[in-house]
Amino acid sequence: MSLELLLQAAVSGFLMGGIYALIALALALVFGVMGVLNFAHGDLLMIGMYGVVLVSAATGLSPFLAGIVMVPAMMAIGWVVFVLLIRPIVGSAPLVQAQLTIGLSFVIQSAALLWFGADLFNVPSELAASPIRLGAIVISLPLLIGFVVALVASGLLAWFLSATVWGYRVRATAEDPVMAQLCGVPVQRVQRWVFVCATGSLAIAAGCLMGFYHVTPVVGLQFSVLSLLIVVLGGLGDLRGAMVAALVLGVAEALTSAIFNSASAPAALYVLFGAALLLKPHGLLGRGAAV
Amino acid sequence: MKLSIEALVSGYGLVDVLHGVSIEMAEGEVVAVIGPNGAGKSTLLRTISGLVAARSGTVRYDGREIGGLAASEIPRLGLVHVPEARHVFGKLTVEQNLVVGASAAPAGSRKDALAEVYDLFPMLGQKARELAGGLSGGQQQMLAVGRALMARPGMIMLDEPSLGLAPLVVEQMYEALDGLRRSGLTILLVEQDVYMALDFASRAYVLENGRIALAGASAALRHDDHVRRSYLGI
Repeated sequence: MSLELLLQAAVSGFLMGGIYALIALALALVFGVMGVLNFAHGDLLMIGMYGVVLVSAATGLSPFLAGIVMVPAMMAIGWVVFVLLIRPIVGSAPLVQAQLTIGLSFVIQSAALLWFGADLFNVPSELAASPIRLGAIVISLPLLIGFVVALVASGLLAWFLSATVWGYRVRATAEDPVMAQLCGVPVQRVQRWVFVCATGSLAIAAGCLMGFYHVTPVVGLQFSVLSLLIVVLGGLGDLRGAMVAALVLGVAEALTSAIFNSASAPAALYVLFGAALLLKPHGLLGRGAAV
Repeated sequence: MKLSIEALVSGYGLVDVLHGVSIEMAEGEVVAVIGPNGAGKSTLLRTISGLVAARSGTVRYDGREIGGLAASEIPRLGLVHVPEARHVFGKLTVEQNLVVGASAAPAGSRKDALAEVYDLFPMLGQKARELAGGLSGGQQQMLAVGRALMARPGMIMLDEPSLGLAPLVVEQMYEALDGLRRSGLTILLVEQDVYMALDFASRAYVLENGRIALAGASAALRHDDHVRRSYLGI
């Protein structure tokens, strides 16, 4: 095991972690603002990934641009899902929420299977053929672009929440929805728009992923589980913690794959997860709710 | 009438808490509601502000029926509720709390409102960029009142503003409230400290078991035998 190989894995994992962060932030925001842990999160992402494949094939756009083109469509899907399924379960028992969103996950998976079949889809791209070399380390260009796009999107979200009046209202709603109402904040509208925008942001994440990744009907589950892991590891309700957790998990996953094999990576993530829960029950930065 | 409540019945689940409460307040009046724990004082305010649905009866503000409006609509009409236990947004800064408080007012008035609140509570201006969660209880209460004023209200409802505060802080709090009273703001005050309430308000209602047991001018209530025995401990 050479040092270069480990460094290579760490860099790739870090870049991948940046994309995980964007996916997990959307989940964390929805959980924070309406208290619903959406188990169909990864499946909504999967819809976005198929969308990127279709848009790229039809227009020849790069997956990153196709992802941005897909944003309005994903927002519309988010709107429908929120109004029909999520709004009725805001404030319901966690088990009801889990059952409903897991059910939605199965429905989306089955629909994708019927529509696209079980075949693997990806977006062919010349970018992959021209990696960047830094000494012994090779950085895949699509991965790097995906990382940058995801980072910009996450940065925009952070800016919105910390520096705009509507951002303050979103955070106030997350912290104390009843008090937010008494301040005149239209809490239901805030919840709807947060869900719509979180779903829209998955289109951007889907574009980042499709630069180098593939999509199948079952890819959603993997991302749902990963996002849940990141959100809990970061400390429930702590967005900065989720950001750090995503990068840590990305690196850990890549290192495990490099040292052992890729089949052991998910197990290693759970070992890391268990250890973190024991040692840091309030999240990596110690600022979230206890699990 | 600024506020006019008639035969209001409300409660939670199967239980009625208020059994036909009627209250009238004129513009600029300061009125207190006193009564034992569990009498329904907080439920009364929560029903007026739309957090609890009225089961029957009417609530009119500025002549307009507000029963059935969403809780987030009522502050837009100028009626703002400062709930018990302050409920500041602890993870937001002091100034962000105030800006959220201005959600019910037109965006153009935010700057002036902010200046006025900092004028009334200079401490909030000094701590504008600190997290509200780090403030002391008294400072949080001032923030809660300041946040309500950001909506440019015509009337505020205060639920136990002195609860859990040190006597000196309570005094400061009431000095600020006195300024608001003199500026002509209509105030409905729920207060466990009956001396304080009767001192501050010109009239008061005594709420017992969800009914108005007694009402009158504060000066008269101070000398009422029932009030003296039950609430003033004389």
